[in-house]
Amino acid sequence: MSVEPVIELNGVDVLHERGTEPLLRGVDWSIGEGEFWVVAGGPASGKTSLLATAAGMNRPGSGTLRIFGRSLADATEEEQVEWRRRIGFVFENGGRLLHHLTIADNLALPLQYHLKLNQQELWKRVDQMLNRAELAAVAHSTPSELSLQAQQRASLMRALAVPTDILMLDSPLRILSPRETRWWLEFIREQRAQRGTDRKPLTVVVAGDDFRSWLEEATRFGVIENGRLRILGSREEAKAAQEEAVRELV
Amino acid sequence: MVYHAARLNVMDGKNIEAPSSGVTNLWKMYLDAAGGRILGAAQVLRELMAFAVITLAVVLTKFNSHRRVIYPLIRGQIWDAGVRLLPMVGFVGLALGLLIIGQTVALLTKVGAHDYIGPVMVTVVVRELGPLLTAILVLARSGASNVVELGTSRALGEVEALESLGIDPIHYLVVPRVLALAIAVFCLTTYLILIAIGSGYLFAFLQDVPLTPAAYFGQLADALRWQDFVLLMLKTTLFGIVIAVVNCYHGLARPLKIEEVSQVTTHAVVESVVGCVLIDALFLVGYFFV
Repeated sequence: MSVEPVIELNGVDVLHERGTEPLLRGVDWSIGEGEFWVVAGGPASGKTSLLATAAGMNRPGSGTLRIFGRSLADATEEEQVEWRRRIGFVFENGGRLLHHLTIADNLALPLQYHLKLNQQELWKRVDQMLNRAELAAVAHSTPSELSLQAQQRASLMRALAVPTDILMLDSPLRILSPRETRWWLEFIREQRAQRGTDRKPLTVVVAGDDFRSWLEEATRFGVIENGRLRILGSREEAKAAQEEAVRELV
Repeated sequence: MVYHAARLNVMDGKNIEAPSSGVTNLWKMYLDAAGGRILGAAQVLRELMAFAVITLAVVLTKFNSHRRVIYPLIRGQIWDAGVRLLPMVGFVGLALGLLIIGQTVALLTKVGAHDYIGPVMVTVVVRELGPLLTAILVLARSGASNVVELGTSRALGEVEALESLGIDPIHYLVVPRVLALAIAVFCLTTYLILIAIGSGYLFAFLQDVPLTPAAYFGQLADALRWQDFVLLMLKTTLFGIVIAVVNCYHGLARPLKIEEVSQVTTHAVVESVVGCVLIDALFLVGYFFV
């Protein structure tokens, strides 16, 4: 059964933020609504840049990028802001919270900027997120006072603060303990289950070092090899892959 | 880099074979270095102008949007760059009044030139020293810390995080600083000038200069024209804008590594001072017509 694509990359060259030489060439990738993608690759293989490009934050070197059916080249500034509001992005290694704001203020920022909530409703939502992330006790701490794991949880909450259709996670499990990893997997499962009935299904795209932690959750798999994105397909297809490089990821 | 490369070439045996060729190469080296510097400065100026135009466009198109986020940021910046600087500016104003104005008044009275007190005060304090000193104080206190804060944010990837949240970094990080510094430099300059003029008279009074307060302030009022107020407001506002734009440009405009933050801070401070002095020089033309 084919699903409606929410993000499409056709012949896209993925650039690093600082560079002009493509990290990945000729990427053809279609992310369908409600799919759960995991893309694995080695260190400095271009995972972060691929995710940033798919989210519309990095401009492709060449090719076409369509987000929610609209080409990046034709999109107005308002449309791009709307995309970013609908795509939650969690950066690696602590999630890049704003260091001069407290954890509570970091979570409140997207709500204040994008939604017209009164103060009571705003802080009620922030409290709910803090409680869900078990961060209420450190609500008034700044990110530098917390561990990277706690920062990354706060970053996940910030990414989901406003209604989001796509959640992109850049190497989210790399710095996490096994217990913390279980919390993340459970949380993402819960988010996807909640969406099923009343809202559009949550699309999840994860970049990671391997597939292992995601095998039970993810539905689609890809691997970055030699500067190219190779689509492996479903869970069964990924597991059935014969190449040693892919088997190592599984 | 051009300089070092040229210097290495001069050290090469081929280049020092004949004295005349060495001298020629030395000239070439300095011309290369000077040319490189001039081209580099022109490039920075072009990028600064582009950054300023983008900032202006954001101010004009988005000033009233997301007020609940932006207005508190503007107030916070005014507090940081303005209110918290009041004691320091007050101290410098007092020192300026006691050391320069008081002595000038005493000297002019001693040589019988007390009719010139007003014009001298207006030229030295209101038009030149007051605005420039305040701008440098604001730059030292707030400008440099702004570059460090923004540069660190850039190096840590927080600017990309803002973009990922659909928040325009220019709107969130630059606009509040530009508006706040423009307001802060104007208000602090007025404050410094008032303190300097007041404390200057105090010093003259303590030195038994035969000048009544009415005569002193009367002379100042006679020397001031309405254009002085307009130009003072324009100049100080521009100083604030230049400091903010230069600092934000260096902190944000290109991807930074954390170890580059101190280097861009130095550049930002130097270029802000140069920018303020150049604007000051431009305003001299305006004062010819006052």
